[in-house]
Amino acid sequence: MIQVNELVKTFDDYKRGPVAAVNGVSFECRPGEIFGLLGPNGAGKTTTLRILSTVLKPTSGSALIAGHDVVKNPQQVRENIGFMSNATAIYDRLTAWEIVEFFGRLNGMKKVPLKARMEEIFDWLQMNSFREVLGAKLSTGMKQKVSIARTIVHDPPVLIFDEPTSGLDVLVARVLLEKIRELKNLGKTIILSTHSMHEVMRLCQRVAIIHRGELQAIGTIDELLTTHHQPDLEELFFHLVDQADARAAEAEATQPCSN
Amino acid sequence: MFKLIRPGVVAAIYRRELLDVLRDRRTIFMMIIFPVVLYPLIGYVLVNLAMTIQEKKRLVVIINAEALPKEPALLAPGGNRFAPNLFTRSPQDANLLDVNQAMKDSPWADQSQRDRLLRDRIADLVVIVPDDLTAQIAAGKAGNLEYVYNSADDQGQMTFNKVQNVVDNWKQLLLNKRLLADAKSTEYTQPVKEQVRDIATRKESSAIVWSRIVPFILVLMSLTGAFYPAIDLCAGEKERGTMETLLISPARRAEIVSAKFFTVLTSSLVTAAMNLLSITITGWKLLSDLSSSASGGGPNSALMSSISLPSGWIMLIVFLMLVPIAAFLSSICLALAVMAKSMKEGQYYLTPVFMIAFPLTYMTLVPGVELSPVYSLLPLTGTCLLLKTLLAGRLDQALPYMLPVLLPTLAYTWMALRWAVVQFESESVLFREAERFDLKSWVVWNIRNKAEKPSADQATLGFVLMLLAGWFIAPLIAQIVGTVDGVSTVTVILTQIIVIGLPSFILALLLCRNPLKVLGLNSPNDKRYLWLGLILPLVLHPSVSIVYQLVETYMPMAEPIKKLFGGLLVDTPILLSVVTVAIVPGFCEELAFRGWVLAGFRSANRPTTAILISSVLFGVMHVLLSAYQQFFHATLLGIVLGILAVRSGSLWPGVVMHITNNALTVLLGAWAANSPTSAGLLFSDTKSLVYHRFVLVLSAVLAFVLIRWTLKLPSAENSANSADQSADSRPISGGVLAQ
Repeated sequence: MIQVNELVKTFDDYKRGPVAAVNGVSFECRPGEIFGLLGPNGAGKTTTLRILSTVLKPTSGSALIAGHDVVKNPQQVRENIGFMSNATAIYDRLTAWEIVEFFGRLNGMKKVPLKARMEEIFDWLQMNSFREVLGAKLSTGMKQKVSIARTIVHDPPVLIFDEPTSGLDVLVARVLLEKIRELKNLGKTIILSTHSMHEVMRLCQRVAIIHRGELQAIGTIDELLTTHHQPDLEELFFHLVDQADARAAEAEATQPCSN
Repeated sequence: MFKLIRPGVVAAIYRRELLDVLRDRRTIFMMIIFPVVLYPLIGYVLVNLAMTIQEKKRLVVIINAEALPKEPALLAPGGNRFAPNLFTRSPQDANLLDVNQAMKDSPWADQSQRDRLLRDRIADLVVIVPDDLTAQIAAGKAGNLEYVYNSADDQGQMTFNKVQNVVDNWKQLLLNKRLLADAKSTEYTQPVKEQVRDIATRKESSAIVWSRIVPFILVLMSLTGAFYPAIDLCAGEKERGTMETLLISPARRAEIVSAKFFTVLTSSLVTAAMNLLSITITGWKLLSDLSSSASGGGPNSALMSSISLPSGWIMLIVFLMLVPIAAFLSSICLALAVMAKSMKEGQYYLTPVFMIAFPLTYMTLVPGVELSPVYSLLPLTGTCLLLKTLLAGRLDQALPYMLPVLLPTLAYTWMALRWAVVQFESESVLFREAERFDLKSWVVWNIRNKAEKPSADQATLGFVLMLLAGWFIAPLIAQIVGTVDGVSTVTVILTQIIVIGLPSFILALLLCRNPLKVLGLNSPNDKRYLWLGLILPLVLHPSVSIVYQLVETYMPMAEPIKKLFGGLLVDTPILLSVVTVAIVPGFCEELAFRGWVLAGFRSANRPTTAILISSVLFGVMHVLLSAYQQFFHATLLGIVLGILAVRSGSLWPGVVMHITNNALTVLLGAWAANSPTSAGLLFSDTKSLVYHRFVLVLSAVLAFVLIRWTLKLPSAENSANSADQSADSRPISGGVLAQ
């Protein structure tokens, strides 16, 4: 459902020259699966996912979502995904109901089916108490629910969550993760990026650990623990991050004069 | 762009944006509350201010007033007023000028003390009467009257004017007395009496007043109404994080831009309309108040009644013309707002927009600026002139210019929106991180990381450098080289090399890995293009000369400039003339415009767009560094040269064509002057080089054949650039060339 192949994204930086935010990332994600993208801040998770959502174009490499290429058919890709991240805020001056309705309309949904779908979603996420409240007046948890509703209103086969729980309190985060699990059970293809190992253990079938723009390891959690001889995910994570940092420091030491 | 638009999606986004705008207290305030409250407030302040200013008294000190003649009297009985019968407007005005009499030994008589007292505004005017005034007048001679005042002080100036007026009337009475004494009628000093009849009706003169005010109000208000919502809907959404949410929806970029444009346009229209309405109502109220208060038949009421409210159909015209003005300004605001990454950055763009919009609007007030083919091409100026002409009721003059004005405006609007869409498609504009910008590391980065091709920004930089060099360095060159009779050939050659050629060459050297290839200094992909460069100008010259004639008819060059251009080549050997106006400019201008500028714009645009942009810049450069009449054929030439450069993949065919084209002007002129008989075979008028009809037709046919043949030549654009051009790049059609 999602096939990512040797994705590279470089940005020009006047101070440091070209910087590779993502460097040769490949993975695959299947329906009915939650695929975890685990990495520290600045690892390249958001850039990777932004390429999948078509708002960034890869420098090289390719990505297919539901059979559509993100570069050649961005339109079809956007029709088939639901994307939620910290950067995708909701409108302050629209009510919860209006926001979700708006995105339903953008996805070309007709009035009657849209209304039915929205009633269903508002029941499922228990959002009926703040239907008519303006976005600006919603609490963080309510906003997050509106965001999920917005993401799934057109019932896309692929869902991408970029650090959905960051900045949420435990209660709200728990509800949110529960809903993501329910979505998986509906057969959706889901990517979840996070820096929380706890979330990965609870939700993900397979996981990729990403650091310095590169994939450090990929597989089921059990597989990874066995191959790298680590007792738990946390140890594994630090082990891989340390390894990557050491390699990078070594590479820098051999070419000190490069800009 | 419009093929890709689904009305349903645009409507959905438009509805949302409008809801957003309507729920924003600030926009509602700017759109509705502000105009409704502001103008009545201004009205009140104006009325009150007018009253306080009117009641202010001025003080005139008269030294030695006893020496004034007793009959006719300058002063009223009591001596502290001027005689009321001497005031032209109303006898009551006498109460506004206090008169103090001073003795010859008072401080007022001493010059230094008097000056100080006047500067301290103790009095506004001092009149000094000599002892012998009455005697001189009685003797039939002219007596002296001396005024002292401070013209740097507004009150002093106004008092001086008033008193002079009073004294003029007094002098007339004195004169009448003399005439009576000599038994001559008062007509003796007035051999001619003029009668003036103004055929303008009250309606017409008030239409003129409105036609001057309304364009300003419309531009100012539609700009205000468009600017803030545009910033809010683009930069604001980026800042609030909702832009990315919108971008990952299936809405297309063109749909988003269209919907935002319609929202901005709506706000702009409503704001302008509300302001106009409020101004009209306030103005009507003010006028009726003032005319009822001044209903003594004084001159004040005459002035007031000359401005009446515009009639219903005029209001309709205003609202209709508001649409193109608001659409143009909305599209510009939107494009700038997309560029801004934050509301703060967006605010910075307001001043430049005003700075450009206002001179364009102000031009409509300059006497002699009327609807013409040139002005109709200027954004805002064209629409405002059309509006002005319509308001003045000159429908017959306005109608022929409807399309010439509205089509360019439509084109500019479309171009600005296109630019907005392109920006939406470019990720750097939407995800520009706030990076620390310092000039040094930027320059170092650009020089170190030399690019394969220049960017559009760098092309623009080259153009700006040329303009700056033209402004600052060209006069220096002229000064150093020294000029004889205006322009010398050495100055022209040096200016071409340093101002036009050098900036692009240096930029290419500094910023690109392979400067020679970027500038196109390689051989063309097909040698036949070089021959084409030689033949094409010969064949096209008759057709192009029609453009020259049209320009000369509609926008004749001012005589001094014409002389300057003509003087350049007089007495210059023909070979030197060819070097000066053909070979050097041919090479330098090609290097700059078909080399650097075109290459830069090609990196981000389709070849057709890049050619058009570089040609317009080429035309603009001629306007700024030469004469605006050259805009049209420079732009046309730029298009043909651009096509040649793109298709041949080399600068040289263009250089050959440019040189041939410029040299033709010199050579044909010389030929026609030296042997008019042989030149008569080609020209029906050998003085101004007007071709025979049959030559024109032949040239057009030949040009058509040649262009058909050209399009069959292998194009560098198809072979070399197919790899790096985007999928939607289209080869240039013959349509552009056929112009």
